[in-house]
Amino acid sequence: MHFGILTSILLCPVIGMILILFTPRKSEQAIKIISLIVSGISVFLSFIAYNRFDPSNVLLQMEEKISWLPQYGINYWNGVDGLNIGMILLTSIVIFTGVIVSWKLNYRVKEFFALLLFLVTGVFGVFMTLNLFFFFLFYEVAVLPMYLLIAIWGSTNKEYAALKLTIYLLLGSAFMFAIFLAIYSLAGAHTFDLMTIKDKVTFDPAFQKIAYIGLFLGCGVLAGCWPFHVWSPDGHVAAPTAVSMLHAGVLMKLGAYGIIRVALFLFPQAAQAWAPFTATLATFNILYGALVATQQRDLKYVIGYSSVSHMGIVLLGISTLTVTGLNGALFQMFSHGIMTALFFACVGHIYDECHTRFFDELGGLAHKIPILSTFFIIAGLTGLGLPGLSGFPSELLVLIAAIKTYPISGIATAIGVVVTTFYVVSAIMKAFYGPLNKNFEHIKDIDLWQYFGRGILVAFLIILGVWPKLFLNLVNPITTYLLLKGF
Amino acid sequence: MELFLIFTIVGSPLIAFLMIALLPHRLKRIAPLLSISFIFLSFLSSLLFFLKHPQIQETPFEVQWTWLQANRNLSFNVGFLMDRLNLLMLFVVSLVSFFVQVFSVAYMADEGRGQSRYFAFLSLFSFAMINLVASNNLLQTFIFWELVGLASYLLIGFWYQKPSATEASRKAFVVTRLGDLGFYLAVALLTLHLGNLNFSALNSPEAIQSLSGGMITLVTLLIFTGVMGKSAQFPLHIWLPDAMEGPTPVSALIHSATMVAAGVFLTARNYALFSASSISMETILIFGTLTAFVGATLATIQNDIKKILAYSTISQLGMMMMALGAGSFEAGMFHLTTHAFFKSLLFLASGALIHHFHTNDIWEMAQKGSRSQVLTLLVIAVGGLSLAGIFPFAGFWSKDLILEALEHKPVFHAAALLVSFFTSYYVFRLLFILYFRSETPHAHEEHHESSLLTFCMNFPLISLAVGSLIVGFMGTDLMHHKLLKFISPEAEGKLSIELMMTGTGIAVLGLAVAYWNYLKRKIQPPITATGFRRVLEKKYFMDDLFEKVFGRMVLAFSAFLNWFDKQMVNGKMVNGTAWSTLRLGALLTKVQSGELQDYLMIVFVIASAVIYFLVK
Repeated sequence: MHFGILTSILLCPVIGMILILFTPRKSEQAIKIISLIVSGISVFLSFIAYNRFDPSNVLLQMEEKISWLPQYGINYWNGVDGLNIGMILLTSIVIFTGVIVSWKLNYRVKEFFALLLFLVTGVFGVFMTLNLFFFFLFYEVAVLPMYLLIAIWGSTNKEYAALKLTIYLLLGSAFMFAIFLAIYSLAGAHTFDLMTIKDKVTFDPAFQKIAYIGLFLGCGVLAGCWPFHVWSPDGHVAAPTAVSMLHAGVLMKLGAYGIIRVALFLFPQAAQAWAPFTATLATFNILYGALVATQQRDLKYVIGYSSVSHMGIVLLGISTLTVTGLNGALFQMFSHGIMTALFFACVGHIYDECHTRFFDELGGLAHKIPILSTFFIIAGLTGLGLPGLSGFPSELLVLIAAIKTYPISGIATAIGVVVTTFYVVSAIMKAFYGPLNKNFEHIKDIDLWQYFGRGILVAFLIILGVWPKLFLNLVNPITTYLLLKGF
Repeated sequence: MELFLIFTIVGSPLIAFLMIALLPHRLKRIAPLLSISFIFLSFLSSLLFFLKHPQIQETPFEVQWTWLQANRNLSFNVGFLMDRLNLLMLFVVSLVSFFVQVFSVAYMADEGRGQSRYFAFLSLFSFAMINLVASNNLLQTFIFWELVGLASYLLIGFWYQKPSATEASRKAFVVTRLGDLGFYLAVALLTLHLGNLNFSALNSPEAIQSLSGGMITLVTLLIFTGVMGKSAQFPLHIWLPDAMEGPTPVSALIHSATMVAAGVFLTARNYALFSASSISMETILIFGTLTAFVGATLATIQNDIKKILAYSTISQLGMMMMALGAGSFEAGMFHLTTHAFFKSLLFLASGALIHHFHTNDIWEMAQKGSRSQVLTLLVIAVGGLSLAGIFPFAGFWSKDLILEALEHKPVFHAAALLVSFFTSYYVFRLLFILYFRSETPHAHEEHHESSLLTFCMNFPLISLAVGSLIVGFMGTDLMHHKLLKFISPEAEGKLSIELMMTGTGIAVLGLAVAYWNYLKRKIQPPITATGFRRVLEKKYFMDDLFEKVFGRMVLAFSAFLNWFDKQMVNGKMVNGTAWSTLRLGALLTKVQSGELQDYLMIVFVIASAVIYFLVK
């Protein structure tokens, strides 16, 4: 086993957290710098992993396996393939920029960054592990700090939202864990190793059916699947900026990733049987989220519901069970992660400066904060699927896949694009255009440091939009391989 | 070498855009210079390309690379195609862009810092438009089709402090995106059924044979909805008059000469595909006619000079679509070319008037002595006579070709003549009001503009005026149909004398009625709306239909969903579950009362029940 790069990525935030715990509460700057450095290292390492990753090889790469509780089939087993290498990269980018945008935070700094890094550890873990037990464990690690982060540093009805979010996500994970246990004992796998289960165990068709939909809905809760989406707008709104970024940018992708990695991977036949149903749910996501977003008066709620709508595109792509659709879904996961992170990073600054996010009170901000407005507009244009930005290729792929298998869902996707155009452009108009509100004469635009943080996200949106091959080359071989051999 | 030239053509405006965007603050003043020189470079390269390949008609030049791999069998390309159709468009786009940008230097001189943003957006637009035209496949065209939409949105809302401007930009974006819904679906359908979106493949006989007739109709109609949005065809034309909120040079470039003509270009580009479906051709003809009629009639009652020109643009775009629908590819494209020149000329000239008089209202201009602006009125006359189709101005030639194409469809021919009548009427109305109804200019305060700015304003006006004359002649016998042959080698372009006479007769009739109304009867605003005029003032109720009926329906439905989300999903289901869990818990806590008697009672009840069941 060579240098365990995946474990190193995973350990970055852990080490950072420990260091922070040993740093005196007073030295806030040091705490921030530690967080920045460890997340910077994780970005660096993710890029090394990305560089070392060979996309043409469809087998697992950079595997690390340590026996943990071999009697129960619980092993610390990490590995990457085309499905998760992009997600690891996404996570590291979002946490890095998340730390940058939290630079001005001044309330209980130590706890905030420690929890933030703890959360990210969980996210990294879920994305890289290949053991169902660890999958669940890391999942819980990712969810629980969220409660504190929202309830303590949040805004707007934060206790309610934090509680709701936690209960929802735990409920989803309970579902998930029940299915995992069923796989372990009922189906007679007697191991939690995903790859071993995949190779050795044949499932009873009836069991497959129940297990698949259980996992789909369990993970779907996290992915904001309709009608289990209501936690997400409330949670997004209440969370502090960096947490919203991680939350919408990365955490929701955990759900979609779980569906692909576990549910689809183990029960492809059941996926086929349930596909019309899941595609219908996804269609609801797309249209329902977009239409409800047109009615919001709080900038963050608009983005919250737009996430519901955009995650619908991911779920629809998965439900098509085609190479094109899966490629599109994976691309959309990455693109949407970067995009919402940028959205929340922009709204966070507006809230810090103006102390409001209501359209009625905002207006004309472009006069005072032109750079931030530009960034927000770029995020918005990505959201409405403007070509040249990364939202377009992903939506296009899903649309093409859907129009073949589920024409109505395909048309709904295209209609969703129009509705999205309407609410995005309306939000831009109400918040940034028009005459400037007199109260905001003295608000400041982002400084160079903040510009840098958001600039990274913008760069990704543009690069992937202009050159989608960069990402698709990662996922295309594995999706082709998986669908050819029927998983 | 070819590759290098192509990259210069399509890439220079992008370089200009990036340079302006990244320019440090103190250098922002050179933004206009950068923008103008790069668009000129683009024009020169197209010219050079043409000179090097005079035989481009026979052997189009095409290059492409893979852009996106959707799966093993399906990939999308990025590529460029050079044939006569897009070379013609390249000339038009880069040349008009160049003149408009020069004009903008004078027009936007007072903008200060906004100027660099303005020129950045203009360059972005030129980049997108040139790439739209040079693209070799449908997806790439769609991509840049959206990007010109973005540039249009940004430029309409350029004065973003004005609520009316931002409203108009939103309307333009949303309405065109609504049309693009169809285009998007067409791209997806063609991808599925053909797998190759190159124009050469789409329009090849094999492709047309492999698609079923119904599919061709469906796809072409879907593309046409995109065309309706972008080329402002009835009933999606409603955004264009509002788009006049943008700076006037923008209206000249985007909303008259280039972007709105993209739909016509796209139809021409896929002409073989469109021609394969007679239903689609009929639909285009019908909608084109409706558009031409609606636009021309609405233009007759406007008092805002830009609105007159906007409705006139709608009407002329309708005429181009009529030509295409009637099967005359060259007439449509020829009219597109002449229209690009004389309409951008008219817009720029109106911009000069607006700049001078600080009003858009033609009556106010007349009051303030519009007669003093001799040069501007002269070029407006050149553009206007051309628009009205008066011999020997450019529009005369192209409009007569369209009439010629419609000769065998009497209903549409009559409709086109009716449109010509209204066109001539509103043109002469405009000219009469601006010149003959003008007050004698008082000794006005001379505000001297620098000679450079005056040059920047006058040079494009004169060039475009001369250009529009030449372009017209290039389609006639006198110049051996050079332009027509360039568009389509098979074009004959013979005009019959009777047609010319009818066309001119109708135009003179329009002139006569305008003369009667505005010089004899001396009609003055305000004019009470009666009869049909009331319908006209309501813009055929189309804005109301979209905003008050469709828009409100969608928003009401969204409001219902929002209520459903808040009250039902969130309230009843989620909070309800939480509430019932709490109530249940409260109920169960009652059991744990701490009273020994209670516990004994429970034990007794359970025990009796167990015994009862055991014994039974």
